[in-house]
Amino acid sequence: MRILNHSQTSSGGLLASLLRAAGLLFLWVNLCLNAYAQDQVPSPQLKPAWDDAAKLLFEDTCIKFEKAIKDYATDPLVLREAQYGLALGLINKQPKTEGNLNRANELFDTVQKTSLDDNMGISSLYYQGRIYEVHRAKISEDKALAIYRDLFTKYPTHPLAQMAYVKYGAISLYQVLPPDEKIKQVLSYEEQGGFLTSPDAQRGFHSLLSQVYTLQKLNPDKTLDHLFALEKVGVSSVDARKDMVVRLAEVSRLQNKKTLAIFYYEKFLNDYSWDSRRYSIQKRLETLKGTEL
Amino acid sequence: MKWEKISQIFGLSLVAICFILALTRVIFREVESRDPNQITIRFAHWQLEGTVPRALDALAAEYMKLHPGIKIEQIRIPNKVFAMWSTTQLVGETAPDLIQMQALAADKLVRYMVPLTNYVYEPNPYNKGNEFENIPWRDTFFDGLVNAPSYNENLLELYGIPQTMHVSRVFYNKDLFKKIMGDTRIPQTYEEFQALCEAVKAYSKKTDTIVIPLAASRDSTGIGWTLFSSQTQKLTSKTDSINALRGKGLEENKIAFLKNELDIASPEYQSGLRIFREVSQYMQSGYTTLNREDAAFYFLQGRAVMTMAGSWDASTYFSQSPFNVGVFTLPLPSPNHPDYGRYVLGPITEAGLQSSFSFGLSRTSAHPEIALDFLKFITSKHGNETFSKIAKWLPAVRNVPLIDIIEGFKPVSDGFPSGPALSTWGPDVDRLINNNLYLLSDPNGSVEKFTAAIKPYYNEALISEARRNLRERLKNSARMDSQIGAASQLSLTDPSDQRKVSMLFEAQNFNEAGYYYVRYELKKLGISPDN
Repeated sequence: MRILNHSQTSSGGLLASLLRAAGLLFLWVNLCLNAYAQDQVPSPQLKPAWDDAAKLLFEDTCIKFEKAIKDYATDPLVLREAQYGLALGLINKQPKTEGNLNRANELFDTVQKTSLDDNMGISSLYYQGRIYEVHRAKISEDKALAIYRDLFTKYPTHPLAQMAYVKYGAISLYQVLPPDEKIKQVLSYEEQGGFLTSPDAQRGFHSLLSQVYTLQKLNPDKTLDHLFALEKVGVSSVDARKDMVVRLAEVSRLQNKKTLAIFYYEKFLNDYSWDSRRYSIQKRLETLKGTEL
Repeated sequence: MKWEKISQIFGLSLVAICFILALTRVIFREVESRDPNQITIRFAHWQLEGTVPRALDALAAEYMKLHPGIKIEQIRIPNKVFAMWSTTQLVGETAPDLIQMQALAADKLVRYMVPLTNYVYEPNPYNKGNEFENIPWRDTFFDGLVNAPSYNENLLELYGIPQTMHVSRVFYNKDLFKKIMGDTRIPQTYEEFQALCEAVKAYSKKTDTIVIPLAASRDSTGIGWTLFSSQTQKLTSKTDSINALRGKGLEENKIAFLKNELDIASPEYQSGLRIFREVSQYMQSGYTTLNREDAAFYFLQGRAVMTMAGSWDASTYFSQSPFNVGVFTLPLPSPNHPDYGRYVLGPITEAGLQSSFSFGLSRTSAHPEIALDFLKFITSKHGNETFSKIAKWLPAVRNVPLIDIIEGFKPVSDGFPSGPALSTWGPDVDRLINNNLYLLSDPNGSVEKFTAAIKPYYNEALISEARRNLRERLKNSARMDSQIGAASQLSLTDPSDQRKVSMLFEAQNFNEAGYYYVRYELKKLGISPDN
């Protein structure tokens, strides 16, 4: 845009035409790269390295991506993906060093220089936030929060930007604040979470809020709302699913919502035959049904 | 001089014979493995208890009968060297086809073992004709195969299929019991258990023989801690801050202690320590310094009427005792007990026990499909029943009938979770407790002495544990980042990886929620979450 503006303010003549042409060419190349990057699939040459990273073999991951960076130095797309992959490998390569984390950060910067607005660019920014939040020996939550805020403000539809909102909530909602401020903070976070559409982010969001409302003893009705929402999105871990059903039953019981409590206690007993809570739940159910009669 | 020469020749001949034997064995094995008509599947484990290898031999024989041309070979490796042996075999790519699972690091699992996750969603063909015919293989097991070491929660993959699960029980000398107690029934209540212990003491004094009620060791303090946790059962509601009805072992327990909601000096904990001390007086003096074998010898020599051990020791006791051995569940005080009853909810449940003795498939298996088929055979309902019957171990598969002798191991399912313990939170707390346990268990000790020794350092140890746990949580979360990034990238071409991304995000977010919660509580208490 700046180049176009600049060319428009120039007087006519060859220089202006050349500048205009160069500008158009630059824009075209950029658009092509971005269009490709939006739908970018892993380069087949890099699949073995991605497989290693998915299996936690980070040493091998780094070796393979380092080699790819050398081998595909003239192929900008493969090169960019290899740089992104190497950065992801470096953040977990053992022994963990500040040097590796700094290099990963620089590689993420390089990936973003081609485009910040495509999947890989946004992902790079997200992982830079993660470096500050969990990877460095001295974590910096403020820097992580700033990156996450940037992500979900600028790219609210991207799944990782939505996940950044969940990470942002986990850090900020567990900050120690006076009770008045705390409830305002939680309500504001909850209200602003309406933009979340990715199931992974929704799951994280509702799970986080159901815990915050319970553990910080803020509002049991809200706990129940978020547990219902969590049930709707679905939970894949068996243990987490069991806990969710018991919590739905227990919070319903504590809120005197007997029918609901009975429904979830029975659901637990029907769905999970091998759990240390079965007998306690049977007893709860007997008591509830007794009082109902 | 002449004798010296003979002994030298004899020694050298012995070495030569051994060498030739070993060489023949290696050559024979090599020739056998090259025989195109003979497929050999080897499996290795460290369960040397007599009945377990016998059970596996029986299963192997049955499988070989079903599949002529396949030979199943069992390799037994002593427990103490198994970890080293198996690592060497895996790294050297000479591992047997199936290998007993141990706590292998994630990178080793990935390199050397085959994930079995995709296979367990299909029914086990060896369950054809029974109630599991159309049920996924994983759902035929009590625990649904969601526990380590079968399942690796970092890789979100299943690597092993289990054979059994274990419980702790009181093993007793039936002959001695009859001699002392006549036709009295085995103890059903804590009062009857106490009466038995007192009767043994009286018998020992009267007959001037060395017989104690309970043989114990530092590895069997579980008897005391089980009784202890009956006294803290009602405190579980105080630590259930998330309303999930979970029992002991929660981080919430640590927080509750640091917030003074739980206290060693509270009546429940003091009562727990009192019952621990009470039962300790029926064991050998200084038992907390003895090891497991010492307790076993004491019992097998007939110098103790009872001992507390895991069901894995059953075959040893049943086959090696010169007397008849029986088993019963340690009776806990009931809610009606005049002294201890006020803190008790009811029996402690064993539902939810994790399965164990899992076999995994090694990557270097020359016939992975046959090895897997054998694994399916031995973990079918019929296979597991055969195993349970001969090994005298509990089955891991549901609906397998129990033989009489292991009826006593049947897990207690009608019961409540045990209450918060003192000694389940890791090295700092455990060290503090174990270093001072003699003050509680020895005749000269007392509950007061033990409490006075522990209390000033207990919170400090808890804080150290909480910090360690925070570091571990952070490490786990950090590791998942690269996995998530890679799985996301792979999911662009293979949508099945998207499921893995979702599971990883879910696990990471749950993990971090716990991390930030503990940090929040520590900060609120004015405790730095970092060292």
